[in-house]
Amino acid sequence: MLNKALAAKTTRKTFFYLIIFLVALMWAFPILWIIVGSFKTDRMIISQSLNLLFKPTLTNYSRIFSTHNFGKFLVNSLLVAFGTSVIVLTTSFPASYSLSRYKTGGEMMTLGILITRIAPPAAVLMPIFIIFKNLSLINNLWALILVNISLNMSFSLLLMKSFIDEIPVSIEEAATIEGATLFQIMRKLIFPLARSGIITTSIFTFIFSWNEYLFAMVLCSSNRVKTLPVAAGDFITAYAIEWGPIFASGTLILLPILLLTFMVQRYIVKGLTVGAVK
Amino acid sequence: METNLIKKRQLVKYYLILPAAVLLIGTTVIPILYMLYTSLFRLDPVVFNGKWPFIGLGNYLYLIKNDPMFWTSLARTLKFLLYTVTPQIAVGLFLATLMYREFKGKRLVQTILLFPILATPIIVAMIWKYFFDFDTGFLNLMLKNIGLQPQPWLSTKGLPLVDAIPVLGPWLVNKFSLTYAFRTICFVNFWQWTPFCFLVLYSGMTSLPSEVYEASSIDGASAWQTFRYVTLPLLSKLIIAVVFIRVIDSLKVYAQIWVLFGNAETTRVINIHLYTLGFTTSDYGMASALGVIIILLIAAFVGVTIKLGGKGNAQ
Repeated sequence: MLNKALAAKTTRKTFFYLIIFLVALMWAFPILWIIVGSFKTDRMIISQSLNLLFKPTLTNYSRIFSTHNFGKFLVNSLLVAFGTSVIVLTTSFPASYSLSRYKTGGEMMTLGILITRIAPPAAVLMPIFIIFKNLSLINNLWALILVNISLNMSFSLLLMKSFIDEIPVSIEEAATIEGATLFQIMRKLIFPLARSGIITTSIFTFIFSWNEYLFAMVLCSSNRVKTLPVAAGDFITAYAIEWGPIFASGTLILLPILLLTFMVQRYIVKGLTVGAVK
Repeated sequence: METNLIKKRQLVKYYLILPAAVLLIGTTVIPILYMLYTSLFRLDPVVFNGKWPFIGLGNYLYLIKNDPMFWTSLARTLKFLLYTVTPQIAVGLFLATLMYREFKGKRLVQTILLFPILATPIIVAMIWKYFFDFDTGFLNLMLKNIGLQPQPWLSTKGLPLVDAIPVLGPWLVNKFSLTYAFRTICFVNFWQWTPFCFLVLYSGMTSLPSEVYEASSIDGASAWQTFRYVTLPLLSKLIIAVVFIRVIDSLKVYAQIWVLFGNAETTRVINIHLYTLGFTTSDYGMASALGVIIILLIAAFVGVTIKLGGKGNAQ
């Protein structure tokens, strides 16, 4: 009797781990396979055997950097992602403070911010393109930074606000009594206390602008200002697909995101769940 | 003197919000208003001087009356929502229930599931374009190795079981977009976003009081009963919130479809149609009109949801 129950328990446990293993496999394997594949030659990738054991080569990487100028695209991508993050952070921090502490604009303001996040970016593709064309800002990285600010601002405001909301007001009241100015309070008190909010917001703004494809493709298509996703997209939509360089550029683009996922997981989980769970 | 200080304090909150507000309004509200304006003209991308012929609602009427692709891509967008959000929520909920216990390697599995959410959409599409490739893709390689027929995952062919139905088959394929290509797109979206549903639902579950689970296990409830009568009712609000977020985000889909199939008509959703109007046929006015329609449709959807949600709260 006892043995039977034990056996049933073991079967259930095995079954459970089998499902977990399949889940992990389904979500990890494709990425691992591409990363490993980026160190194979084109011939090996398209051959009809799996080539599990092979001599790794850096040909794909040297090709994308030497013949396709990925160094330049990498710099462009970094400029856009850092530029966007810095501007979004410096403007959304004081704004979120105002929203959190003074309830500036009331419920309507929060709703308005939310609404700007709802429309699909593709819907405003035309006016943004026409406006920048009129301003002769096509193929200019600033145009792309401006669009990325637009795409990230509302999310950052709401995310940062939820972090500042958690800081007790009583600390500020004490500081005010001791004669601290508002600027001092924000810089010396709120800024360090909202540290995890600031880190979370920067991570998301950085990744979202690093990943952005549609506007980058429309606004910055010339080689001088191309970003990495657009350059990778050119490979994929090209007539003859070369998997080697595609895998290498994919690995290059995913690398910072992979590192962030492992290093600052706590912040990412918080950022993704904070809005929905509330 | 004192009133001045109070006034200053009151103004400060506006100063603080000003830069962000200017950026946000300048990059969202102004383009939308400008789009309303340009949608009423026949824009000429060659003679780009701003002196365009005014045609009133001409662009809108053309889309509604004479552009079958408008209706097709709109219907396909709705199918895309249905076929992606439903399995994402179902599997996300299943994974959250599955992982709601301690086991070896839990942290690793959670990390694995976190990554796709942030991964670059076009690279995710690229990965699957390789896996689904007919000649060299990993899936067909596997199928061939175990002696099965390779499948045309990226083709616009109807799914074999449905397509084989006499007479009715092709109609069903057409009506419900039951083609390989469209299923593949739905799968790629499923792969990228199910982990998000899992993550949010899981953290919702962990924030539920653990007593309810202890109570139901003492009462001898089965796993299914616990799920059906404890988890589901307690999570219902969060599930609705996740559905809402996923619908809104699914409506933004662009890069994945673009990378896999470009603007092919069999997989075209509304966003791809807008891009095609704007940059393939260079009809800026028409594309603007479509942009306005998309925003109006989404505003209607959000309005109805909020109204229904408000009713639910009142009851």
